[in-house]
Amino acid sequence: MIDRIDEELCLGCGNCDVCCPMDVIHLDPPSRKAKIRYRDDCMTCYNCELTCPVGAVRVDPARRERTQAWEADCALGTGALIASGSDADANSGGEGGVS
Amino acid sequence: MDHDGIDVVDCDLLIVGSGFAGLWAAISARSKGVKRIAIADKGAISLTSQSKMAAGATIFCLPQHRPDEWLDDMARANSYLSRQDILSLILETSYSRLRKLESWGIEYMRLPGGGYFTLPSRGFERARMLVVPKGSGSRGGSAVVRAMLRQVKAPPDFEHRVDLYPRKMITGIMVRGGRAVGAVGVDRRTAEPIAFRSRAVILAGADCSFRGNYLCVDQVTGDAFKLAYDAGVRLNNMEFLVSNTGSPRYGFEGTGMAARFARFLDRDLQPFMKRYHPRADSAEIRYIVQAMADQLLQGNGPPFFFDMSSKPSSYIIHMLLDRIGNMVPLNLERLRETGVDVFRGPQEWVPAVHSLRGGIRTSTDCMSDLPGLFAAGLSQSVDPGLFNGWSSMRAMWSGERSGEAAAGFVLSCDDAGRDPGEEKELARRALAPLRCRGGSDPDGVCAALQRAVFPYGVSVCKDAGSLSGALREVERLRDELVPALSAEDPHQLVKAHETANMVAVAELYLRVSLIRQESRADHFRVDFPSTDDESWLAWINVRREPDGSASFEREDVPLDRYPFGPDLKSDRIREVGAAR
Repeated sequence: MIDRIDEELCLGCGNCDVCCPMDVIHLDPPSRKAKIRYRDDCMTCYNCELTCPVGAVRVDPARRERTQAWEADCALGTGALIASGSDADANSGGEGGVS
Repeated sequence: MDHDGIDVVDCDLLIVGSGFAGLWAAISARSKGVKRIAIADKGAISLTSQSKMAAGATIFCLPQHRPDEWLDDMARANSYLSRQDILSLILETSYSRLRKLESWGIEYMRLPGGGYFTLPSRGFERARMLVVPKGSGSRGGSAVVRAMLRQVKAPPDFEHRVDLYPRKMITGIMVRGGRAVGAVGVDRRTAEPIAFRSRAVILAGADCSFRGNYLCVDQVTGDAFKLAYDAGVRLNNMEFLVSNTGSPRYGFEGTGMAARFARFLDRDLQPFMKRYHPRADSAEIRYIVQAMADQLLQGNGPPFFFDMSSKPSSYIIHMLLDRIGNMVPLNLERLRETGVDVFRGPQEWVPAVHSLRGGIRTSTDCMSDLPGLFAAGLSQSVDPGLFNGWSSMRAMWSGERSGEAAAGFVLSCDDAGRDPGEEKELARRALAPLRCRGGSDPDGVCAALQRAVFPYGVSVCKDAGSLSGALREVERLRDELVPALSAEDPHQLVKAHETANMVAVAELYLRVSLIRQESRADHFRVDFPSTDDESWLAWINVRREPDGSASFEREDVPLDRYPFGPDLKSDRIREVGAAR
């Protein structure tokens, strides 16, 4: 997730604003500095940091918390899953998946 | 031109989306004589697209390869729900697109002897990918979209121009006289409505990720699916929600590059894939994900782990990752700074909902049921699976093809005239969440949707009970919370529309998943574990009826016209040309 934008370094070029897919960063017109407006929407794509010409943006590799399959109310079916066999089964329209 | 506060753009062709498909469609349509082309994107033009963030590895069928063998692989890997007529066209013309890309300045990685460096694609036996090397400040998909954007911005003359409209979230297709005649949307920063009046529309967007756990897919919210569905065209393959795998905390996954080397481990660091598939750790991702679900049932995880540390794995993958996807090398550097070296031992790993692989049913010319409405990129339904390097090739082909076909349509049809009333009504609907103060919060609705759709029993190992339970919850969201979606500013307005789109797509996913009572490709029903070719070698088409209800129809896969089917062995390859 985006960590910070160094206002001292920021040139106000707006590259990070333009390149953010999630509309997280806005160039502030009065100050001509890039500001983090919607940090929680950051998806850690690094577009902003990669396009900053002066290294003013820093992204942390840790992403925001996400809904995980097994953390949700995990309603697995009652049918037992048994390891499957041949390549033919797996690939030629035989048994689908881990059946 | 304006009316009622709506900014109006007159053009011949509107393209929605600006990744590989949208950009190529513009170049192609212009080369065929279309004069006024508009590209609209809810983000920046090309620079926020999935294509820009793609690794850039792309499947190309070179002259020394046999497209018929690759088609055989692909049809089989997709359990014969591929559009083999479209796949044939893609493979047979892929080398010409490679040459075109090279003429635009894209250099694919080569061996010291001069031949192309190629990689296998996980899940395909024979298809190979080419890799874009780093160079001139960008890598991977970023290098490709930048080269394409230069072409778009270099018109041959003033008359044939492509105008770019970034930050325009398209919310409705205009239909008049039985054809698509434009679209209405809003500006992402100002919420000002905008209407594009055109003779044809190409939906060149992505698919739907439901903001899942896969990396860099949060903006992939099923927008094109919902636009097409509301316009009354048929979608299919909507039951195929594909999960990949990845790190739960970091935006990292290397399963594509590591197709032949890395291992998946259970909580005791023991490999398990040999028990599930003959190709073990290099099997298609769907089998990895399903095996993880089984291991979960047996108490062997979570956590699971992904190990790229064995030789030659670490050297080869490291060398490749350093050359692909723009963000990958920086991400690896940052991870090392925080003490995480993905090449040094097992990394915690989880299944990650990636995307719904269905889409708009089209002709081989990429036209939907609605004249003038075309689909390209991952908005189009071609095959239900997820394979490294294939999405990029599909997007490039469909961009080129839809641009040509839309040009033919545009140049042969009359102006559809004006209907300011329709534009006004669509604009009113687009702005509705701004008027709904104190209603439902888009993030809250999205989280509720994820809790309904992401559980294993709904997204990976489905059964009727789990699917029905999830459908009841999604119907509640649809009826109670979506109509009250509220936005305080233009940023929230776009999120409200994205959330509504995801809820609508989720409902279709669940309904069609309940209908297909068998297991095939990424659709695995615990209560119907076998593949039933007798009953289900068919697509399930879904369409919105005028009263708002969904109708479903079964369409048999035309195996009499396709080269490959489940009853044929690969040594009985028919001529690919028979597919058309």
